[in-house]
Amino acid sequence: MDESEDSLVVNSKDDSSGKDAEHIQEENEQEEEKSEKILRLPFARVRHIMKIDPDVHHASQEAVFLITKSTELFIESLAKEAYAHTAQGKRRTLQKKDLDSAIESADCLAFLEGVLDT
Amino acid sequence: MAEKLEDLNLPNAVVTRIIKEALPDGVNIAKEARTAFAKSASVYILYITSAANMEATGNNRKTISGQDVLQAIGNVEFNKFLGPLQDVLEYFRKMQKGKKDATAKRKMQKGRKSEDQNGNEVGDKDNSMEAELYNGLETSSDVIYDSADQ
Repeated sequence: MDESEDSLVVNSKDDSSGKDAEHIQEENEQEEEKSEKILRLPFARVRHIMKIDPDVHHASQEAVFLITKSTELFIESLAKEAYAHTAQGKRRTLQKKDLDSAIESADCLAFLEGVLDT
Repeated sequence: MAEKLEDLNLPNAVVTRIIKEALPDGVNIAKEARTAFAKSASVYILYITSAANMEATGNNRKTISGQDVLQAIGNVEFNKFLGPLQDVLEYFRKMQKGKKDATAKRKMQKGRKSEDQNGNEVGDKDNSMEAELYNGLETSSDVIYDSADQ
């Protein structure tokens, strides 16, 4: 995943001494474009979803953290897979059917088969 | 089961933002597709949790560990996530350590004991950790971003 680096960038200590105002503003704008946060999805909500499973008793914070982060990576990955079908259809709007196509064609997405049929 | 999934969807706005940042500029996402993404993500969480739980149980443990999660992700063929996850895990651990050290220091200064038997601070541990996760790692002064080996 080539873009994953951007979303993992951490806001290192702000060393703005000696720089002029313009430069600082430019840097701030760049930083705002990159995701500074480690997580975007809500940790607590993910934990809540995990607890739906009656066999799950306890999960370490590290475990919940990793599941949350991997879910973000999953969404990115799914988006790209779906978009391949959007592009194939020469469209600019990603539609549900693109997701359906992605699920059908990728082995690792087999667990989603039937899930989106409502 | 379907009812529970609807109640516990991830926030649509955040999911949509993640999707948009992964795709080229100017791509729109149909409303129906946004909901489908959120639902897929929730199902993914359950899927990985179940797989990770199996790892834990297989090792005679009741608590799912970070290692169980990583193992599960590899098992279900999402190996491409493992590299980025390892990187981010390091920051998480540093942050946890920094927090523990700060808490211990504070306690020593105050001379007050408010820990449970495991030495963990009692109270809104998770909420404050969440705050740090979403605000970056400014609280850990010794954490510096170094370029990961790619």
